[in-house]
Amino acid sequence: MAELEDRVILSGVGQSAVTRRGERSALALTLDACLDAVAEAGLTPNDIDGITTWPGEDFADPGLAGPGLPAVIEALRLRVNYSAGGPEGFGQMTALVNAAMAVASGLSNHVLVYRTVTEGSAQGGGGRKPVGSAGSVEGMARWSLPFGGMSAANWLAMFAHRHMFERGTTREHLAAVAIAGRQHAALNPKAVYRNPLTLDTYLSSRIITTPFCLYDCDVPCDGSTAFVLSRREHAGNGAVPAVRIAAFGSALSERPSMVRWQDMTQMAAFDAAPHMWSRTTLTPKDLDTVQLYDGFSILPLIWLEALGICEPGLAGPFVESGATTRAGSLPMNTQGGQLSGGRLHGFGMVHEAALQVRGGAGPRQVEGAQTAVAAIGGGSLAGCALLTADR
Amino acid sequence: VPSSDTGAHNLPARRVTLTPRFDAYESTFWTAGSDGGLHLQRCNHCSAWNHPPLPRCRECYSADVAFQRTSGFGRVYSFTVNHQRWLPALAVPYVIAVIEPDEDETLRLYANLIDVDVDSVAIGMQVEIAPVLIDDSVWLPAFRPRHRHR
Repeated sequence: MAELEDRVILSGVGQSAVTRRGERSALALTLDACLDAVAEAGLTPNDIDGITTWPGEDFADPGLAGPGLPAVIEALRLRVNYSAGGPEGFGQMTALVNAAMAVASGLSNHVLVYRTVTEGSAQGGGGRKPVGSAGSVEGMARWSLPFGGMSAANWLAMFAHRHMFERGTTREHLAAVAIAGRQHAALNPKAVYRNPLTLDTYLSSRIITTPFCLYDCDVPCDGSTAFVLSRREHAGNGAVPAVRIAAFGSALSERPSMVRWQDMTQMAAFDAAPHMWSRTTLTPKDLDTVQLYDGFSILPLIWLEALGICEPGLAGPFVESGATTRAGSLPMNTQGGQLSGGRLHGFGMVHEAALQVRGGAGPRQVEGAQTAVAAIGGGSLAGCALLTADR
Repeated sequence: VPSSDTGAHNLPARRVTLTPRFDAYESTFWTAGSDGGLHLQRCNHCSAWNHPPLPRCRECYSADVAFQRTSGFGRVYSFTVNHQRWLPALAVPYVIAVIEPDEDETLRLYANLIDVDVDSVAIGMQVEIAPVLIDDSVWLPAFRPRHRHR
């Protein structure tokens, strides 16, 4: 019996403008991205019969959630056989797996998937805002906010410190992630920050929460990314080459909480990545480029180790050696990542991986790229996908 | 004797109140700090410690769980010194740590470190409980460096 991944193609991708201080509404950005993706797939909105998103509209953090499904269904006047959006699951990749399952199961032929952020304008000039708000603290937040753990930066800084303690990772290793991302951003006209970043500038920037300085934290932006997932039979009918999703990784076996994680040198990535490799005959040696979630600079290092690309403790030296730059053996975050490109909250990773494997990345194309990983998430959230050219 | 926050330094909630709302099965954890101790939930059936508390033991699912006062000692598993003023009233810098209680080093307890030079905090540091009253009856399980001769 064919697996889910054998029945699905990524038939189109789309992305709005990406800006630091946007003037366009979340819905306008979303429609830009969605209509791009639908056109790439060789379709019109009339053909779309499914839609998914993450996290959906009902989410309190400023600018984190884009428009909900009802707004987009209404604006595009979709008639859908399947729809699902919500913040729970294994992070943002949940929306893509939901879409793939809807296609593979026969519920839908073409599912639109989108993720929109307006954190750039929502957070204004006041810097990054805390998760939740002051006052009475409910839900999972009661285990972090009363202690001043007000941002993912605080939670993940503690993963970074433990990784430094046990694995020997250094601030210079973290800096290498940020600096390589900035080099790559110079080739991405949509990237928020494109001027060069030096180690001196990095080391002299202000500390947010140790060991993270300003450049270890990604940059809030306004933007939307969208995909169309279609039945495999649709391959060849689009305006662009289709992309295969060779395998998804969605497993979670640890206790799913950022604030009680057992081994903080690892993350949920250590569940999702082996799950992904278990669903394909491809191996880490087949990768031409990797797009690894860099909400904070420690995260791609842990993903490199989770994916089996580096032994535990060797991801820092690997990045510092230049291996993940365009000139290296495994270019990483070729659009600049979220640290320099803008915090499109994971969907930008899938977008770039798709462009790379279909040869559509323009001046930042990794020559001959056929296989890429897109990985999303940090701490207790992780999902990944192995993308290949459909040739 | 641990006291209210009058003498505590480096406490983020000192000028901004972030009071947890909690379920009944957790209430001892959040309120029993009035005796100066750290109270964690333990299973009477299999003896496993549970944190955060649950209606049933996470190891054997027994509902026969109860709080015990612990030694109050532990070690820093990881930490961060927060310098960002996420809210205008926040007093920075302050230390957030993940504590391994001596009773079970697999437990992970989020807490503030108080009465400490923030630059001296390190993984493995020995700490002791120093509960801080933040509301009428709610005590945060803060820790401070362990004093050998206390």
